[in-house]
Order: sequence, then structure tokens, then C-alpha cells
Amino acid sequence: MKDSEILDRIANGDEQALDYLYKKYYRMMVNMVVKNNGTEVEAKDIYQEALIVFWQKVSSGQLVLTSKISTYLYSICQNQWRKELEHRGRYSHERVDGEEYQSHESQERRKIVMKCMAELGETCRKVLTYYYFDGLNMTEIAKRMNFANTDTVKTKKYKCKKRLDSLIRGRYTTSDFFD
Amino acid sequence: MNSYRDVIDQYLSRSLDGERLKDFEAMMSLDPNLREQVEFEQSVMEGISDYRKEELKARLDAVDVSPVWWWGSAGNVTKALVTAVSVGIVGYMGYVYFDQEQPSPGDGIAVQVDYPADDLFAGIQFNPDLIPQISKKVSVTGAQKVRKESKPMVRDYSVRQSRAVTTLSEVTSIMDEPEERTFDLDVNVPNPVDISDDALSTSSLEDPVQGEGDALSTDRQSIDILTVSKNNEKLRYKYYDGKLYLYGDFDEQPYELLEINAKTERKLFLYHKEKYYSIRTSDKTQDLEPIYNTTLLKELHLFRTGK
Repeated sequence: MKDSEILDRIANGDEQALDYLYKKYYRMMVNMVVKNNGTEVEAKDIYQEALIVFWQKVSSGQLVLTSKISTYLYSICQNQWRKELEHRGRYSHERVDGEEYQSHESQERRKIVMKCMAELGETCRKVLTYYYFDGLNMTEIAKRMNFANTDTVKTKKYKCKKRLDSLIRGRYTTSDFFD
Repeated sequence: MNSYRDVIDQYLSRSLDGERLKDFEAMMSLDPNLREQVEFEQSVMEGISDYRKEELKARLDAVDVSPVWWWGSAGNVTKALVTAVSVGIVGYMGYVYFDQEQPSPGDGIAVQVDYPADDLFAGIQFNPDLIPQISKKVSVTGAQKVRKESKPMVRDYSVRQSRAVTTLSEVTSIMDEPEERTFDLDVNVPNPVDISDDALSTSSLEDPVQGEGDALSTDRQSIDILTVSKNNEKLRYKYYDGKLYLYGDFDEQPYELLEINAKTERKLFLYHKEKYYSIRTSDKTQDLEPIYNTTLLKELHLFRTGK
């Protein structure tokens, strides 16, 4: 599969293109991390993160690729791994309580939202993820989900977001959520 | 509040800019509830992103990234085709390796034998005493020796040489030990009766005198000899029209062709690896049959060695 074909498929939401990329360059990316004091598990996480970033940028139309996909992914992996190594180095010698405390709280909030997302219907999940994760506009969401028009998408998105908010607020009190 | 929701979305997605951004940030600094709402919406957005990321990661975890051994993933038809092609290649290589090209008759070494010459003697002279013994069953006793004026001339030739072979004019039969036996003469023995030669036809006990007309004609067609060496094969031959074809495994040993000429007939014998073989005129390939007749063998030995 050529790079141009891969980009077109990802722009249309074809997740099989993502599978193809993952398998094709897996060994290359993993080798880079492993050779730089990483394990294969860590390498896999880094590579998956890089691929997801790539997916987001292509889906939202923000990416203007001037090199091969492999080169771009490799550079993302390198940067991610470098940050990870720096983060480990900093935290191994300097414990900053405030930051550590905040990241934990943030993770807890996210877990709550993820649980409530799982309780939504598939249409709502798709609309919300297309909008907030893939960065698609109303027209693109309407086309992908076969909605009549953008107004239908706006209404659907409003209702799904409201439903999610209700689940979150109904399950947790504000103090639980922010404390 | 709903309008704030859209503005919050725009703020969080960084699509607010210019004056609108400044105004909103000013409002947040003044309104804690707004600030709280923005933080809530930010958490929801991050949670939605995390949810989608986990979905994609779960999908990628299910992808098989192990090295592809194509054989294992190949279909049965593909495997069968590859196997057939491999067998075909191996079989062809084996055929080429083990096949030994047999030389065609045309590849053999032709040795032309020019029939000699002038110093020939006149025909075969037999001991008259032996003639009755040759033509019927006899008991052979004693040894007789008949010497002729001219010495036998037999030249050896093999597939590597090209020399003229002359015939033996002297017949010497030596019977070393008296022995009592009866035997049937091999028909290959040249029958002197068939030889039209005045000297031979005499009934006198004296040695026949060579007459003028007795000189053996030297005007003979040469024998073309073609030897085709075939390993591990029985000796065979074909002789007609002045051409002798020899086939078989001569084991790289020389052979001798003994040619007994009379006025009207020519007899050929082959000597190879201490065996004598008779050669008959025929256009069909025949086995070289060894001669077992001891009398004839001795005569041929005398022909060949002159002893």
C-alpha cells in the first residue's frame, strides 16, 4: 500500500490502514526504543501513541506530510521516547509532589469519563469521538455517519454531550469529581 | 449556559482568538463557576479522547506483528504449486546430472584400413593332411606344423591407431598334446574347399606350387572400421559392404582384426583381451561370439603371432 493510499484511507476513517501501518513498521520502531534503554513493552506503547497522534492529525486534516510516513512516525517515536527518558531522569532525582499529585487526580477524572462513555450508545460515542478526538467538523461527521445535514449532527452532538454530562454528574458529585 | 458551552468548546479547542479570547479569559478570571465549568468540560474532552485512544490501542494490540513465515500463511494451492515446482527443479537437475550422453555412431572414431599391398603371398595354404580333418569329425592326434614361405604379417590396431592390417598367409597348426576327442568343427573355419585356388585344390601331398594365377589379388576394397565405445555393454558388431561397426565396452584395450583373404572370399576374426571372435557378413547388429573351437583357436593364434 502506498503512502498516499494510506493517508486517504485514514482520512476516511478506515482503521485497517492503521493496522497495516502498525504491522509494517513495528519492528523498526521497537528496535529504536530497545536500542535506547527501552523494553519491547515500552516500545509498543510509544509506537501506539505515535500512531494515534498520526491518526488524529490525518483525520483532522492538520497534517501536511513532506516525508515518508515511516520517517514521520520514527521521528514521533524518537521524540516521545526522549521525553519519557527525560521524565524518568527528572523524577528519579527530583520528586515534585505537586505535579505528581495533579497527574493522579487527572487520571482519576479521565477514568470516570471513560466509564460513562462506555455507557453511551454507539452513535453517541462515534459523534463525540469524531468531534473531540478526530477533530472532524460537522460536515465531515454528517458524511461519515450518513446524517441528512450538519444541523442534524449539531443536534445529535449536543444531545450526546448532555447525556454524557448527566451520567458523569449523576454518578459523581461535583466534590467527588474535583476532589 | 448553552451558549457558554459552545464558547467553552471553542476555547478548549483553541479556536477562539483575538478579542473573543481575551474577553473569555477575563470572564473566567472573574467567574469561578465559569472557571469550574471550563475545567469540567476539559476533563470530559480528555476523557473522550482517552476512551478513543484505548479503543485504538486495543485494536492495535490484536494485530499480529510476529515475523511472517509465508509458508505457514500460504494457502494449500500455493503450497502445492511451490512443492510441484521444487520437485520439478530437483528432478530436472538430477536428470541432467545423471544422464550420460551416449555417443552416436557418427561420433565414433573411424579407422580406415587400407588393404595392403604388394608383398602379399598367394592365398591360404593348408596342410593337405588336415583337409579331411576339417571337413568331418575326426580324432585329432599329434601336431603338425606347416610352414609357408612367407611369414605371417599381422599388425595390431586399436581404436587409437590407424595402421594397415595384412593377412596371414602361413598356416601353422600345432597341436601340442595328443588328445583323443571328437568335435564338430565350427562353421567359421574357412573351408578350403570353398576357396578357389589352384594350389589348394591339388591332391598332392607336396606343397602346392604357386602358379602365376595364384597371386592373391591385392585389388581389394578397404575395410572401414567404426568403433563405438559403450561402457558396460556387450561387444557387438555389424559388418557389410566393407564396413565394420564395433560396439561395446572394449575397456580401453586394443583389439586386433585378423583378415583371411582368399581369391573370392574374405574372412574376419577379432582378437580382444585374449579371446577370438568371428565376424560374419551381416547388416544386422550381432553379438561378438567368442570362438571356443580349440583347433581354430590355435590356428588363429598362429595366424596372429606367427609362432
